Order: sequence, then structure tokens, then C-alpha cells
Amino acid sequence: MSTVWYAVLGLLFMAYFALGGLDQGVALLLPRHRGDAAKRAALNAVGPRFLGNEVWIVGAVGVLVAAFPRLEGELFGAAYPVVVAVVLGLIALNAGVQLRGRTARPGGFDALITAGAAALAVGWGLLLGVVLHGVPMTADGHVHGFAPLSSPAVWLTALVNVVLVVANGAAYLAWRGDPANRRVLDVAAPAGAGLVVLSAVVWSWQEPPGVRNPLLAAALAAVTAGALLAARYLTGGRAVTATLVACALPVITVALARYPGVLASTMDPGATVTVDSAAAGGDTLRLLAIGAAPLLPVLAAVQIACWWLFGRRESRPTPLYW
Amino acid sequence: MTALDSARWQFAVTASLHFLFVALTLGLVFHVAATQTRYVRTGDPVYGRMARFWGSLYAINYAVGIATGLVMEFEIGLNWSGLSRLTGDVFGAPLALETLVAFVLESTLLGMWLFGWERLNRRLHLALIWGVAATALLSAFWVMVSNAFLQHPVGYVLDSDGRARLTDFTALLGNSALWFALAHVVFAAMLTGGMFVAGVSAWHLRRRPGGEHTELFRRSLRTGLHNALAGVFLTIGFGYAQFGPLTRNQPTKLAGGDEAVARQAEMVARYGPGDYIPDGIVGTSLGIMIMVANLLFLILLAARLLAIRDVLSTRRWARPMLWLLTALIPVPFLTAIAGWIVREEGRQPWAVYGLLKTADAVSPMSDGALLASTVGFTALVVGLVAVDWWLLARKARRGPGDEFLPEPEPAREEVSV
Repeated sequence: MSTVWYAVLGLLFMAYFALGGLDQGVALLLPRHRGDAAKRAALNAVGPRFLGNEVWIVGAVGVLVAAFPRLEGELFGAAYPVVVAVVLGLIALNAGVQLRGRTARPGGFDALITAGAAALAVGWGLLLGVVLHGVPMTADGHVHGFAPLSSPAVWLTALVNVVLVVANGAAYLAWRGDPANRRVLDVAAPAGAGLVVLSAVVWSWQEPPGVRNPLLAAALAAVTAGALLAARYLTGGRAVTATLVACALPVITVALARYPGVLASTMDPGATVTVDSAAAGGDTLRLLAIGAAPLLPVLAAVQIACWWLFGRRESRPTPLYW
Repeated sequence: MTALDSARWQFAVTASLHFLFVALTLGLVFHVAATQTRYVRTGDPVYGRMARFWGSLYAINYAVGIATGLVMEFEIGLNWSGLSRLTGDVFGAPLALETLVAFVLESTLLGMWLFGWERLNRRLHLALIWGVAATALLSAFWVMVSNAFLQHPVGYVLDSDGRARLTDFTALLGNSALWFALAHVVFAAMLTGGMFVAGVSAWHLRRRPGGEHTELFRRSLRTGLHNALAGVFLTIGFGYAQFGPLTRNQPTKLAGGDEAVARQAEMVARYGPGDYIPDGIVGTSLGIMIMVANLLFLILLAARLLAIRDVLSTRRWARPMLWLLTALIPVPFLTAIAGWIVREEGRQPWAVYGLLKTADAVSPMSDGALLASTVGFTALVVGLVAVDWWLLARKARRGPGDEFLPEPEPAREEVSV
């Protein structure tokens, strides 16, 4: 049961890295759009999907808290400043996007949106890096200091995530009828592919403790780089699919590198957290399954319906809601 | 301040301020859904405009409310690791179900509703707002299941590591601290939403009598008063209904005088030395809540009687009542905070009553780190509340516009792109 919930957790985080990454990418590209009308057009391209994209993180953290309470405490403890930055970023991005249209001069909100998206793209990349790096914890589960955050490889992972997110946003905006962003994609996609390969090399050279499946992780990194290269040569919705896949893959790459471990200790190999030791009790997981199973298909259907209903090309101007 | 003080202040501020958003959101969404239903059934454009106007206020409040909710979700993990270590298995599950199914679904549906005006089939679009309302209610339910466990832990056993393991889900759902409290909270939200609608409508009817949107606000005032009156009546009812289970579940909460001395002695005998009688502020808050609610009921009853044949909005002598309705908008929010003080401060010194003390639940972090995060997050949440109310007041004062509708003329730049 704990493996099933670990897979669900992985899927939720993948959905967030892909779809939330799309929002972040569009927000990071916002300063490139000059003038209020162009900015609103860019945000309205995400429009009805924005809230649906963002909420995956709420679901993911909910499952993390309930199904893997130990993992949550230790990961958050090891990266406290990053988690705080991510929370602030989430607030800035969400509040900014929805409130900018309510004021006469949205300049302040625009700065908030871009800063929030930058904090998120960097922060989530750092968290991936911290998981891959391992955290300085002792067998009693206490974490000592923020050593992983001074590792260059962790920051390289963050950079990879930023470039992936920008490519994602650019591919999406190009697909929704703003060809100026195609040029961004043409640069960001190959650059991202190069950085993915570079970071894979750096990580294998670093040999973080507790990695069980290095070949699988290397293969997935290669697929990520391949998806980015493909995005460079694909157009329209296919390019978006390729960048969405590229944004989601790092999550599963990092998770599978360690599986069945989850979070390794850099101080004491015996303190490593595994899927089973991090999971909540069997009854709790069963309760979660009973409560969530009937509604998860509904959730998936609603999200798909959202893409489908609003997916048709606009024959008339988008309502400028944001 | 010790780390414990900081963590408690931080949670008290974020939770009670977050609840202000929740109450208005939950109260308004049913009003919007009901109004839109009338619009779809009658085709009357006034109802359509009405649903869009209140819907836009709802959306502003929802957007900022998400932010405060996010702070809380991360805060539980960061500051209260003792709580998740000991009882995370039990009380985390309903919280996860709240976020995973109820909230994710709610936000997805809401995004589609915001952009769906005049673009989706009308019945489908109506179904979306009812979906938002239903999932909002589901959220409230799961959060209260979690909270009821903290008030009165049931359905678990302590395993050999001293961790609480869930054994009986039905006991969790049949918790005597759950259903009356849930109804109390939901109807308090109905009162808050109704009071807000009535107060804003009264402002427009008083300041712009005979204006462009008189008909819209006349109808809104009636519905708002209706909801507020029903809401306050049922809130009071379900408030009193809680006294029975409350005195059984938490004998220390409302004990005073000789009884308090006896209860304190009992608790010391059972759980060791400590102060088990909550602060005086609990009794004061309870008194304020009850008095204010009863007074509000009388005022709303009078206003509802005045609304018969529109006396309230057409006669000059009734204008002070319009003024009063607007002035009363903040009152349900203040009583909601008083209610949370009774429920949460009244549970102290326990985080989980009889099972885990608040002092043992806080994360092992330095005083300085927790003080810094408390100052930071408190400033943030207070700032969000200020922004929210400023934007709400601005939009409410401006009155209905063409929110959500497609623009008739495309702007030049967009065509050239």
C-alpha cells in the first residue's frame, strides 16, 4: 500500500511540476510582453487552467503530510529557507495573477508575479537537488543544518528547472498564438537539454550516498534531454507536450534514483528513510484510498474537460479577466 | 517569547484570519449559485448581472484566501512536527482528503466557471458553480473531521512506539465533537455571506437611490437578509446544541469557580502537574459571541420585516436601518474569531485533548527562528487581509460592471499579433 501511495505522490508532484511549471514559465516570460494588453493576453492564454494547474501542489503536499508524515518533517527541516521561499512564491504568484486585473496600475502585481515565479522555479529545483543530495540527519530523525544548500550540484539542478520551466511557458504561449515566444523556446530547449546532460554528469561524479539505480536515473535524464530537443523541432501542441513531459520527468528521475529509499542521510547510512519507514500506518493509507479513489477519476475527468472545453482556438477575443 | 509562544501565536493568527476568508467564501458561493440558478431558469438579465457581480467579489476573496490557506498547510508541517509524529496518521488523513479531492476539484471547477461565462453551455456552466459549492462544503467537512479529532480524539490506539494509529474510521466520522460544530460553522458562514450581501446592497440603496442597479440591489438585499436571518438562527441553535457534548468531552473548558478547582485536581491526578484550566479569555469570548449573536438576530428580524413590500429601500424613515446593515458587515467576522478562541484556546494546554500537550507538539526549533517566521508570516497574512478588504471594498463600492464577459471590441495590439 505504501508503494501505491508513493506512486500517487509522485504523480501529483509530476502533475504540479508540469502544469505548475507552465504557469511559472508564462509568469517568468511576462516582462518580455510590453504593455498591459500584451501581459493580460499572455496571462489569459493560461486563463481557465491557471487555478487547476496551481492546485496540484496543494494536493501533493496534502498527500505528503498524510501518507508520508516523516518524510515531510525531515525534508522541510533540511530545506527550511527554501520551503519558506516557495510558500512566499506560491502566494505572490497566485495572489498577483488573480488580483492584477482588479487595480488601475498593476505594475506592482506584475513584479510580484515574476518574482514569485522565479522563487518557485528556483525553489522547486533546489528541493529536487536536496533530495538527490541527501540531508544531514541522524538516526533519531533530526536534521542538522542546511549543508545541502551549499552544494553547487544542487544549485545546478535549480538552474535546470528554471530553464525547463521557461521552455514550457514559451512553448505554451507559442501554441496559444504568440509566435514571439517561439524564439525563446528555440534557445531554451537546446540549452535545457545541454544543462540536463551536464547536471547528470555532475551528479554521477558527485556520487551522492544511497543512490540505488544510477543507470535508470541516467536513462530518464537522457529522455528528458531528448524531450527538450524534440520540443525544439516540434510545433504547436506537440511542442507543449514535449516540454510538459520534460518538466515532469525530473521528479521521477530523482525518486527512482533512490527507490526504495526516499531520503538519504549524509551523516549516517543507517538513518536513510525508505518508502515503508516514511509511510503512515496501513489503516491510514486504506482510509485515504477509500476516501480518494472515487473522486480521483472525477478529478482527472474535470481537468481533462477543462483542457478540452477551453482548448479550441479563440474565434473572439478572450475575456480579459486576469 | 519562547518557541512555543511564537508557534502558538503564529497559528492562532493565521488560522483565525484564514477562517475569515473561508466564512465569506463559503457563505457567498451558495448565494452566487442560487442566483445563477434563477438566471438560468428565468433568463432575467438582472439575475445574470447579479450572479456575476457577487461572483466577482467571491473570486477576489477566494484568490487571497488560497494564499492564507497555503501558509497554514506548510505551517503545520514546519512548526508542529510533534503533532504529525504522534497523531499524523489519524488527523492527517482527513486533511489530505480535504486538499486532494475537495480543494483541488473546487479550484479546477472555479477556474472553468470564471472563464466560462457566455462561452460554455448555460446549464453546464451552472453545474460548475454548484460543483464549486459542493466541494467547498466537502472541504469544510474534512477540515472539521480533523479538528474534531484534536478536540476529542477517537477511533485510534497507541502502538508500541507511542504513535496513534487509526483503527476505526466510523468513530472518526461519528465524533461527538464533529456534526454540531460543522453545522454551526457552515451556518455561521451563511450568516457572514448574507450579512455581506445585505450590507453592500444597503450601501448602494442608501447612497444611490433610484440608480442604475436599484433593482439588482433590491433583490440582493432581500436574499442577503434572508440568508443572514436563517444563518444566525441556525448558528445560535447549533451553538447551544454543542454544550452537551462539549462538557462531556472537555470538562475543563467551561469550568469555573469550585468546579474549576475540582477539575484541575482531577487532571493533575491523571496527567501530572500543570495548569489545565484555560485562560479567562475563553469565557469572555463565549459571552460576547452569545450576546452579539442574539442581538444580531433581533436586528436582522427587524430588517427582514422592514423588507416586506420594500419599505426598507423606498421609505426615507427606514434609511438608518440601511446604514446599520452596512455597519454590521464586520460583526459576523468578529464573532467567528470569538468562536475560534472558545474552541481552540479553550482546549489548552492540549494540542490533542488528553493525548498530546501543545508544548510537546511544537517542532524542536530555536526561539529566534520561530520568532522570525512568526513575524514574517503574521505580517504577510495581515497584509493579505488588508489587500483583500481593500479590493473587496473598491469593487463593492463600484457596483456591477461587465466582469467575466468577453470584450465587445478587440484591442488593436492583439489583432496585430
